[in-house]
Amino acid sequence: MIETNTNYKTQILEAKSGYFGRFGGAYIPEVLKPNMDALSQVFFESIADKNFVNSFKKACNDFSGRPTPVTYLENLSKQIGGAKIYLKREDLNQTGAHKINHCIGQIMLAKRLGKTRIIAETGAGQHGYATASVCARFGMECTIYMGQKDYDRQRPNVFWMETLGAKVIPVQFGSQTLNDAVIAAFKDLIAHPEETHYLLGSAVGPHPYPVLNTWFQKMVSEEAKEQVFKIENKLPDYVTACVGGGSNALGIFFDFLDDESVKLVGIEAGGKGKTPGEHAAKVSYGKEGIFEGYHSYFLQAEEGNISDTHSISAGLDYCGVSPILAYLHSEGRIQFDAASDVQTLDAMKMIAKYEGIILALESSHSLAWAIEKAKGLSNEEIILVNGSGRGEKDLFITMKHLQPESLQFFMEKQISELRDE
Amino acid sequence: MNDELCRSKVDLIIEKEQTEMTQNMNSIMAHHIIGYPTLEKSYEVVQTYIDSGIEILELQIPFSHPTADGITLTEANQQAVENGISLENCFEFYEEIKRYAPDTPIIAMSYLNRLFSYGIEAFCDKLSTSGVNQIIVPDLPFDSPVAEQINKHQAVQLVPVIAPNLNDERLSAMLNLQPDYIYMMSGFNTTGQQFELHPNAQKIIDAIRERTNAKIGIGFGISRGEQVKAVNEIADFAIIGSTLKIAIDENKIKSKLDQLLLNS
Repeated sequence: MIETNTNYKTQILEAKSGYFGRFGGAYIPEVLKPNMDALSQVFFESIADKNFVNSFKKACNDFSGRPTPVTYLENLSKQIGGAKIYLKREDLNQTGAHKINHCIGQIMLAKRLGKTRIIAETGAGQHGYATASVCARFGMECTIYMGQKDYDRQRPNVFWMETLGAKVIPVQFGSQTLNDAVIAAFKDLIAHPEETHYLLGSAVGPHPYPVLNTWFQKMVSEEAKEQVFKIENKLPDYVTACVGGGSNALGIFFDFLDDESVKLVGIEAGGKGKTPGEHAAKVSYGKEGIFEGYHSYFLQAEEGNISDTHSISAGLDYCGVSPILAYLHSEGRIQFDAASDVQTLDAMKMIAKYEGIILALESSHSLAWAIEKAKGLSNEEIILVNGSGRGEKDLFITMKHLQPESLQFFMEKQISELRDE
Repeated sequence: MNDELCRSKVDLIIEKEQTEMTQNMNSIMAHHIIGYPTLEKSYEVVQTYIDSGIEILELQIPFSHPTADGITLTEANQQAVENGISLENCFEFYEEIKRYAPDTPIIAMSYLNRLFSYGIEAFCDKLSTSGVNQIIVPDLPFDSPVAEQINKHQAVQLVPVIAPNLNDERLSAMLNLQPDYIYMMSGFNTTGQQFELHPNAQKIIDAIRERTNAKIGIGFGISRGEQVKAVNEIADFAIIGSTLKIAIDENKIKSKLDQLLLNS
């Protein structure tokens, strides 16, 4: 069924040095070297161990409801009048996104390493939420770092993390967002290297995180490939995913990497425009650099300083991109494009209206691209979109854009009720 | 002849006094972020460091996201970046300080992306023509491909930053690079947190001493005179950062330095 002409899959999984071409590496303070080496060793041992692989699959099935289905977005596709759009339903996972996949994988590695304490960074709170969930399930102490700004504006997620037993620490330095949370987590790891596993939330960071999270996500494409083939008797022509750090994109791309007929397209956050600080499109508008432990593309200001990012979706609001994606882009295997905040909101509204699905703003970026692309294709062609997460979490952001008056009314009513009590 | 004899006697007395004075002083590498709180003030601060009798200068190029610095120095970095300090400002700073105190060794410090964006080789060329031949890059492992580009450079040497969890294999790899200076973390803290000398530190220092004459500095969390003294007993110098930044803020830099330098 599948013709293999290249060997990107093997190349990536066998890159034990952590370099993908010139990208990747482990640019870390020496003090973290023993931790990263131990994690790398236990990871490569574990994925070669059938018992581990089976327990991982079982945990994903039992706890998170895998395999997730693919849904043919028939109404939407017909409405657009072009290619058939399929959605891989990672939104149906436990905690509502693909993030749970690598959280389950990493916490199992942490157990193997004899760690007792998990730390993680979170931006909007989705990765922190998934981490807190697996920590509760697997019985580990959990500390989540979150920029003070995110902590304030994503308070509902803080509440859920705390309900799951996590300690959430607001980070008060820097721009008080995701980057600063990553830095705070690394500092914690430097201070407590023995007992702690840093459960990093994307396919970024020093080796082995990019390959490790890619491995724990690759079942997304393995499933989707079979599922689409079973229905259509062919592979999709295009596979697309939103790209923040790159974990969901690598998940849906991975098993297609060696199928040359399948075009892979990563969609970055185009935000409000191309001006620095108004978007989070690293490959499209960023520069090569080495930061937070890895060599890749980063949004940069003058002379190597890191610049601020913007995206309507907090999950894409990050300055760097997976070194594996940077490599595959440099090889010409993956194309990149960007969707704006406005296009994204339109796509989100369309899928809700025609398909009854509330899709995350992150994933709505790639759906926005698919909707545009589909128009120019025939109804024989197939676009597979990774529905990496569900959109209920975006309630306040989406409502602020779509129905600001209702939101204001609701909030005021809530406040007055609280005051009366 | 008599005259010369007299003069050499006087010289001897002065030399003796100076030696006694030096013996009563701790060895310190004083850290400063170029451009904090302003570029002008930085010149003043560093000259005060030199005049007070510190042994080595560690002059950091500010970076927007200093991953290995504690909160105190992170703030100072960000202030300097906001002040618009360019790499050119930093190179000029090195030149000026070198002119002011040609015999005081300067160790540059920078996060990797600032070197990378300038070009590693071009950066090293520029650094050495500015009079600096040593650099600390906290997020650059000494045996990575990028480090090799620095290690190959004729005039610039990488100062490895090691911690008490360094194993024998890594220690040997590090010593093979024959560094003149080694920066050792006192324990598993980021800069500015509480000082505590890890029990493994002594073992690693002994192993380094056995094989090289590299000068060893210990840093992270040192803020008081007795800590400096304790460090001076086992290493060549104490590295002081955050505490000096706080002294700058409180306008107490001279008295703080005197307190740290006095070995009593």
